[in-house]
Amino acid sequence: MSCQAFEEMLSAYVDGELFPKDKQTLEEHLSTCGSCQRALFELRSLKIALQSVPAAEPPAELHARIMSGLKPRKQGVFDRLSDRLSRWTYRQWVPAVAAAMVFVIFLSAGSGVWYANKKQGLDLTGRPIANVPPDSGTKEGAIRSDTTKTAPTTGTPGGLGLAAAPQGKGGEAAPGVKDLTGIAPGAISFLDIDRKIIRRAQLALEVGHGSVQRISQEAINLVKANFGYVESSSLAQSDQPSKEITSFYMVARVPQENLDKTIEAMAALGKQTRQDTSAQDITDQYVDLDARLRNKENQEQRLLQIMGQAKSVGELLQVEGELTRVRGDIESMRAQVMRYDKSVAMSALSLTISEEGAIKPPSPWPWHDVWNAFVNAWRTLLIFVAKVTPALILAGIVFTVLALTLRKKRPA
Amino acid sequence: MAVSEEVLIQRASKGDAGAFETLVTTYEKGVYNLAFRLVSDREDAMDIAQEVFLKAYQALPRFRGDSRFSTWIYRVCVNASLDHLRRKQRSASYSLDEPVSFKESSVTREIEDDGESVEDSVETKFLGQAVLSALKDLDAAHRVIILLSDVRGCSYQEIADILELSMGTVKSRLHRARNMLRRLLPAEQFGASSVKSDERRDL
Repeated sequence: MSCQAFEEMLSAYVDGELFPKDKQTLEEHLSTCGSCQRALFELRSLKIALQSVPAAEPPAELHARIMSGLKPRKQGVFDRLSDRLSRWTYRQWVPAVAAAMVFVIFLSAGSGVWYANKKQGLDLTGRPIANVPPDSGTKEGAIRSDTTKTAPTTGTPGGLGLAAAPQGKGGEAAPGVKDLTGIAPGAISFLDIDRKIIRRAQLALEVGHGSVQRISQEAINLVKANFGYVESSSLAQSDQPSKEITSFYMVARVPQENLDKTIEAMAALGKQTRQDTSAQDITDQYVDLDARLRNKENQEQRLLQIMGQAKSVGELLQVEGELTRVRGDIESMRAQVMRYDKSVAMSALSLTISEEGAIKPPSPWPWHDVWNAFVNAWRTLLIFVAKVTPALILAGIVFTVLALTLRKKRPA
Repeated sequence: MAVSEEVLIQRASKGDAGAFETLVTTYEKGVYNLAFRLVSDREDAMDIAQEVFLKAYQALPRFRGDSRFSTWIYRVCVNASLDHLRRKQRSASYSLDEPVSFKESSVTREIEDDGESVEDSVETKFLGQAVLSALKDLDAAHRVIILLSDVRGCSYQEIADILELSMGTVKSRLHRARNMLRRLLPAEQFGASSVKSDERRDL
């Protein structure tokens, strides 16, 4: 073995980490090799010199610093955040606290408005909380099944009043229409006419899950019991398996005198979310139409007289042509009167039945509500600030004093 | 110590501040010294020691005890110190840290401050000081291994655990480190000096 190889063992020998076998070999070599002895001496001296180096006495504040630096164990991000916060001075605290205060005020103002409005049944923007409008049953992906078989065809399921006039003699489908009006066209005297008022009602109900179909059948039965009929109806159901929402919509006609009774009975079927009733006075139009009708009837009579006195075929044909025109006018006017009579006699009642918690119609703009809430919150905030200004001033003074004290405690 | 270290660690990991303080008292001096010898700055060493114990406190619930607590905490200390040196090197704040004379004087003062060292021979003090300043010229990896072996008095196995090296690497690196250090020291200081065989310092 060369001296080089032995020298490499010396370091471990000095440390007492040499294997006993190697140790013996090395010691045998050392007894004969002067250079290795010198190297061993140097290494020993070095080690002893290093061992003799006294431990540096840690600064007295080390222990306190270590102990005060300990923080409760927290996880990741929060830990780093609190670590950062602990290094903040009033320079960071003042704006941070101010921002936090504004935020809290803002938040409480916003939620205050929201809560107050909710109590009054308004949404954040102050509008009434909308229920499902009649046509909202057909959402995207919804199956719409029109069941208009119970109603005489009208072609306009959503139509109300005049627009929903039955074609031709369709009005006869309603039992007792003529009896109820009590006014035969052409036979009414000017003085006979009382106020002609068309009444309409819109009703929205919310019912329990899965009971839309049953309740809607009950509503139809109610209409029939009150001598009314269903003009059109539709049933919509969502195809989403999770939120099966079916809604029912119908337009019914009930005798005017039974309208209030029917509404009352229907409202008892579920949770009423909306009820609109309107009345339209058509007396003036009715009287006007009646006058023109009688005028035309008189004209018809005169033309008939003239026709009887006709001297030539030419004259006869002329009068007959005129008579046909006048009779056409009379027919259309009588139809109009009938329409009026029917609208007055049979009030349109539209009913929407939806399941509770049905999806509200989406706002036209997704951020509409958010924006309105934002504006509202600021408006409320202004009022709030005006009211709490004295308290804020007081808080400001306290905070300034606190910040100054803190600054004094932290030199540099 | 009445309570075993194992029990202390268990208590500290459950949030017993007193138990942890006992651990701090046991190891703060060693940790501070190792950091100080590595970074050669009192303030920095304090920062590192604080960081080490903070980390230890946070990580204590995860301490599985498959190595000794001392090994673990010195490993954290070595890593923190080396990180610190690396960061310092990167920021290249040499001009600010340059006043070597200040560092040396600070080292001298520490030796004088130590009551025990007064008993030591003048040669040993002188030699120790020379060795220490020579040690600063060594690169961090070799400095660490000498510090652990000779100043801390760790066994090869402990060094291997702390530095996460194999025993063979520890042996060869320590050998190389000693040779490098020897060459950095003036030869005459070794030849003539009759070094008093001193007992190993309790750090």
